[in-house]
Amino acid sequence: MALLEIQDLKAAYGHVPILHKIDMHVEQGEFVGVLGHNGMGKTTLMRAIMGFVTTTGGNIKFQDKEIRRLPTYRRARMGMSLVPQGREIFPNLTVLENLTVGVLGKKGSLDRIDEMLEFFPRLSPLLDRRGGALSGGEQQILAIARCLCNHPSFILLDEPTEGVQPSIIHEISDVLKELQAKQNLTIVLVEQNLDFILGLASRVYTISRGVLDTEIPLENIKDSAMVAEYLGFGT
Amino acid sequence: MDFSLVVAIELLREVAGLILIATGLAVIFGMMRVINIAHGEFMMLGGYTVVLTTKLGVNIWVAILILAPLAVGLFGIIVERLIIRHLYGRIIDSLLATWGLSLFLIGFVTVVFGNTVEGVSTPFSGLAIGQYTVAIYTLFLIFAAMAFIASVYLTLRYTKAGLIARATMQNPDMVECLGVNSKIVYMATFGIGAAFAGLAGGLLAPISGVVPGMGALLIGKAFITVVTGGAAVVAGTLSAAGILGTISQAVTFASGPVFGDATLLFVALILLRLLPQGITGRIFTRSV
Repeated sequence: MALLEIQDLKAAYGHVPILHKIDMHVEQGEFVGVLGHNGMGKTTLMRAIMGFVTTTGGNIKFQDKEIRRLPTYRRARMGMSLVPQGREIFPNLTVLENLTVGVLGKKGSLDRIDEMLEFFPRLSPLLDRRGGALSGGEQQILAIARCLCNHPSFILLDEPTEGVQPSIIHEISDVLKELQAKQNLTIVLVEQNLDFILGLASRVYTISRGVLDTEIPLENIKDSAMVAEYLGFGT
Repeated sequence: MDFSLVVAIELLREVAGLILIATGLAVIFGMMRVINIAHGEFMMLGGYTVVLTTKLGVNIWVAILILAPLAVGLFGIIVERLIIRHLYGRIIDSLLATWGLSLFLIGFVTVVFGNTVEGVSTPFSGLAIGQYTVAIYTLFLIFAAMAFIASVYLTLRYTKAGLIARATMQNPDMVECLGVNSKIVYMATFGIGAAFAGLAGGLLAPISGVVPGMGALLIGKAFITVVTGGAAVVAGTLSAAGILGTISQAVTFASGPVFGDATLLFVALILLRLLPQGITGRIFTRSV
């Protein structure tokens, strides 16, 4: 039984259809990548799975329950979480307060913050600083740490490397690998950074013009030139 | 010396009055971006709650401090669920809807109670300061306003609920993404803002009397205080009430209440010309 199973999903912003046909499945503990150009529907897919975008047809099953009509907070309480494109940290809250909101969302223990600070020691000296005063990379780490404070079992990561310096990209990559191994997390990663996605994902889907139904074979994923040619952009 | 003390108390009374009438509106506007034009009528309902319950024999302090905020807070929750919830993000629509609600409430209360001033006796006598006398209730109002704004600050700054409320104010989608039902947060926020209005109406009832149209007299000053203060609920209300209240009351002493009110508007105009985002849009930007 797949942890997440999406069949023939359609979504729209108002009357403008964005997602036409999404078919994908994600098993427990998998790290799945989604590749696609700008404007092909990657972010809309993430937001539709999380419940922010109006879906107009199809099914989303999570833990074998139909969740397409559930509000976002109910999906979050089932273990789903999103690290959105642009981070969307709370800019006027301190780093510690951002992490605390992550814990309080599901009434968890504040000890979880200390656990996350061990994974992301870069945040420890910044706890009293406002989220809006952090660099892009620090904000990205904070967004991931805040999401993990929420104790999710399934994480949607939307372009976490966008606008982030290479050293932090490596740090994020290492922590995600470690967390997935230790906590059996299931992660769906949307990216344009092929190296990043190749270093983490065990399977990769491609999305084009709101249609996602193609999985790139693993051996082809290793050949970044082939993937780049397939998608029409270079690494 | 005695005169100076009396003047200082009167200045503080005006500041306290602005804090009391503006805080509920500031909570609702600052946290939900809803301009509740019916805020003045919520205060009026708080006043009538005190009038009715004291006539029924309820202790005046129970009526002012418990029943008025409770009744109006519950009414606010009903209004949020029936009207406001459907208008989030539509600032003009919510403004028009609450304006309609205010007209309905004025009409309804006028039909039920008549357009006459209802009074409640002031719970305290006077305090002699030299040759002058100051109502002890005035001192109580000043204390109540300070306690009122301090409780809002402490709640927002140091409690889990306050942290969730501040996070929801900044990014409701992300809060939902972390498992919080933002609709419940908004409903509670509106209810608390309404309860503050009820408490303010109850506190003011013994000195101003209660009449169906009293909200219209209060909403203008409350609205100006909130807009001049800017987005931060506590720092904005405190700073705007401090500046506007002190200056308008000082002019009232010198030239009478009409000039005092005109000066309040004039100072607000100047402040908003210099600080279009309000005082806390430029100063105290990190404040709650």
